[in-house]
Amino acid sequence: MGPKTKQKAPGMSRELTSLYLENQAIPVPLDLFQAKPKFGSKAERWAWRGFKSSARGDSDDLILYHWAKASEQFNDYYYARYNAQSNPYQYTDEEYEKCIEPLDKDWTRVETDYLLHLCKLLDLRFIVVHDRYYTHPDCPLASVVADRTLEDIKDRYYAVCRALTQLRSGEDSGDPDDLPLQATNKLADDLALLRFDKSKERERKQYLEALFTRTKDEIEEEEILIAEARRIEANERRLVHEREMLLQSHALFEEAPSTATISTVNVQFSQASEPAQVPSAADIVPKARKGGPDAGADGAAAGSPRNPKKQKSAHGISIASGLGGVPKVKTTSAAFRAQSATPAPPASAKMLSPGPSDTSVRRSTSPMRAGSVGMRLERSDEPTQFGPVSFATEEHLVNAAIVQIDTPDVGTITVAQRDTRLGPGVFLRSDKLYPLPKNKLDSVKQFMSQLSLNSPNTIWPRPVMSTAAVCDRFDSLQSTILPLLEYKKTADKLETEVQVLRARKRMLVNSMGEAKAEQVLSELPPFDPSKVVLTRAASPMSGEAMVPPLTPANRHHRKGSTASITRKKS
Amino acid sequence: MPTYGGDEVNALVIDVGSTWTRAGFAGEDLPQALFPSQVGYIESEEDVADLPEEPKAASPRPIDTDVEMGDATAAADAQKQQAEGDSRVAEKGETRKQKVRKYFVGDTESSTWRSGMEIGGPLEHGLVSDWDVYEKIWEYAFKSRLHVRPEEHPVMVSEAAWNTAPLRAKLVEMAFEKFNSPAFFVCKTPVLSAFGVGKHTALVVDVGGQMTSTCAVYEGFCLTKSLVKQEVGGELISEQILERLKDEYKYEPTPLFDIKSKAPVDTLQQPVVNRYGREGTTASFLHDMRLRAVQEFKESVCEFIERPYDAALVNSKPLKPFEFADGFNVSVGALRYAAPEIMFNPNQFLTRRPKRLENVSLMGVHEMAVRSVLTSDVDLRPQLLNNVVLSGGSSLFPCFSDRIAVMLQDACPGSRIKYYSLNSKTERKSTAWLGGSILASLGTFHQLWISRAEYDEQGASVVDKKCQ
Repeated sequence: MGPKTKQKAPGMSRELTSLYLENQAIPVPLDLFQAKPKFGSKAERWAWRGFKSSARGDSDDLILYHWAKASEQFNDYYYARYNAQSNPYQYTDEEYEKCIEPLDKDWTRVETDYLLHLCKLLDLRFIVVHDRYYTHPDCPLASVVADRTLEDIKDRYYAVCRALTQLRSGEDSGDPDDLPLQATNKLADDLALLRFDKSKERERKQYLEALFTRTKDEIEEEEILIAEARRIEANERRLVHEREMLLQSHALFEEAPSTATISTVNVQFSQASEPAQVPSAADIVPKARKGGPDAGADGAAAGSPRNPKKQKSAHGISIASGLGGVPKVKTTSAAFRAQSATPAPPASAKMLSPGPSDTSVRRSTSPMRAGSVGMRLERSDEPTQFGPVSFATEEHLVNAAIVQIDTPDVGTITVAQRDTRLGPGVFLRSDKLYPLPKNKLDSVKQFMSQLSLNSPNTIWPRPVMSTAAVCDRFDSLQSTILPLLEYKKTADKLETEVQVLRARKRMLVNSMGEAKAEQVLSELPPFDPSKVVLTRAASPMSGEAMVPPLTPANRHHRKGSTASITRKKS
Repeated sequence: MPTYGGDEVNALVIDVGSTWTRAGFAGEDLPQALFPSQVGYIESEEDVADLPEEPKAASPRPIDTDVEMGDATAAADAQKQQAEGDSRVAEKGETRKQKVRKYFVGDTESSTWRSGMEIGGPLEHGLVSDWDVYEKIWEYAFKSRLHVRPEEHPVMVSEAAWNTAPLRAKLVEMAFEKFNSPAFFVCKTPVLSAFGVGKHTALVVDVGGQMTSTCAVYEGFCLTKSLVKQEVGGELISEQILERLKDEYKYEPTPLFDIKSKAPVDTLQQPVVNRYGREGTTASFLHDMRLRAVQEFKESVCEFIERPYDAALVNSKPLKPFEFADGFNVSVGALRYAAPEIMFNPNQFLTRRPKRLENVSLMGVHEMAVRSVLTSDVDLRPQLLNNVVLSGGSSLFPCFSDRIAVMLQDACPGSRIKYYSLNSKTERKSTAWLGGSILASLGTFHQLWISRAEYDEQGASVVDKKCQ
């Protein structure tokens, strides 16, 4: 009865209540309490023990005492093993007379003896040797020449060492150049270690001294000069960059955007998409000529250049000419950049901008106009030239397999173009293959393994036996894979963009209300089907998944098309 | 076997400085005994035959850590020069009048007033000048403070970098003859200071009580050519403050032993003190006690500014109040910067030069350091400037390290300068002792001790061979 009433006492904590209860135990974590720590093993015995160290020398009998484990027994003091000693060169009387005496008249025997003694005593710390040279208690002051510098001391020591090494190697005839190679090897090594050039050393120290004694102003001036030099360099880089950009934008301007762009892509793509019909080296050129209306000029341009360098840049050009027919030289670096460029961010940002805006009005213009707008925009934007260029630079792998070279005496020779790439000299056969861009290596490798093509080389796939025919096949395969991957990437990207836009639209419609949305849509200019056709034409593979990548010309088309897709859905 | 390379053989480490003595066991991180090197002594004519009684009555406050050294020692000049162990014994049998000194070592003993008690230190310019006092200090440190029998322990001693061969010989003699040490080693202070902060190559700037010295240390060797020293130290600063107080405020601090009672006074008023008026106070004792009063002042208020001295800046700094033991109180402004400034600007700020420094061109401590650097090899300089070690009690002024950093950087603009100093007050004071403690507890060091057998065989000159 008691506990029950007590337990119900209001406003009292459980712990406090339990204090009143006689039968209830207070919980104590018993397992945490340990009466005595348990050690795994017995305590080790230590003993106060005297020891002698062999490092102190035999005659000495100093016994020092320390605590040591009783179980441990050492024959010698443990730390005696660290008593490393340097053994500088020493000479006998005979050796001195034979080879050291004639070295330098400035140094007497007594002084040389003293020098070597100090070197031994101070473990070849020349700085200390120099410091104590005149004050050491062992110094034979009478026979020591005054004002020996650190370099003098080092020079003498190394001269003595060199002489002794030479003498002891048994070849005291002097010039090591006369000896047979094997015999001189070790000697030369030894002598090289003992080389000391006093004048060079002095010179070096003078420079260091000058460096050390620079005043604050001098250092500041130097720093300013360095900063200035860096600035000039940076300026120069920027200038070159700007010039390149200007050149590029200029080229773009002259390039006439037209449906030809699309058709080129189209043709080449269909070519690439049929790996079964990979053309052999012989019929690639004519096929390439089919490429565009002005492909003849392209072929001529690609066929005639004499030096491979120009040929390389011609890959860039050939596209331009293929596109618009106006050949314009572009640097290869620009072509590379264009190749790896992705759709410029401002464009996608524009696509994501909500609601109807003036850009949507621009969308409605004809393809021709849209293209020119694109051009103009392009000049202000980063000049990215995506689809056709990247495609065509890949194209050279297939197309320009053969080069016609005119030589004055033999006439025209047909040379596989990959051979013109390589300079004279030795090369690996696989060097003939066009190297893959590094960032694409992995994906290409993966692709090839999916085709169950195994390469022995794990770094980048290459054929085992790279004959001309195999190389051709391999190059064409690579050149097909690359654009394919590119397209896949672009397609994936666009897919997600479309998804995002759809979601966004759904959101807008929801917030706006169905009726309002309908109204806004109806206010929009009518949908131009030509763009859709264009994009469809550009993607002969399965439907919308294969939309050509962004180019200045088709970027606006695509904007139109995405807009059109969303509109259709709504 | 231990992996850290230490092996302790219970060595004793003693470092007698001009103001403080540090003694302790090797392997420990602080000295067990830290007491002033100033020793009191009463000279009297006594019958040598009767050994003097233990003068316990003379000590008003016996404290067990400070046991006084009542041992009278014959200190006639001739005998001092001989310094033979048995000279004292030979004297005992005879009965004739002789000057006998009674020594009082330790913090409380030496600062306790006794009629006719003089006070003095063992060192002069950093070198041992009074071997009796030096010996008393050792005895006191080992027997009364460490409670050990010196004949059972190897002894590691520090010496000034400019120590002379005869003094070293005497030192080793004292260790083996008087203290019967089983093994002995002496090492130069800069080297030990460098070891104390864990460096084998360093530029050691040691600002002590009497001396300031800078020295390059290369792989554990003191480079004698780079040694720069001058007799400007903490004591000189205290003396300057004493002079300035006299000049500016007509005030001389009343030493603690003379104050019976005091009354509070206003700022800058002369103190109202009821004095004991003790008879027989010696001049040296009075001066030393005054210096101690000023030392407190110095340690509490004096500091440096972080850049070259600038009167305008100094005057704009806040005043700091300080009250002396006798009640005199003052708010100090420029003085607290100007007084220690003699470290960096001695020629300008040392207004009243003591006799020994008259007509001497003095250098600032940074100039000394630069000179040390310039006299060492050009290849070594970057290493030295990268390892500047500050040690000594007078380097404990606030901003001292910042100031010397600025000054050195100004002097060597192209170099990277890095400082190493121990942070706590006691550690900084005993940097050299700490180095000795580290060195004497290394397993690989024990082969270097000078053993008794070696001393017996080769005599005192063995020290020059073994302790480079």
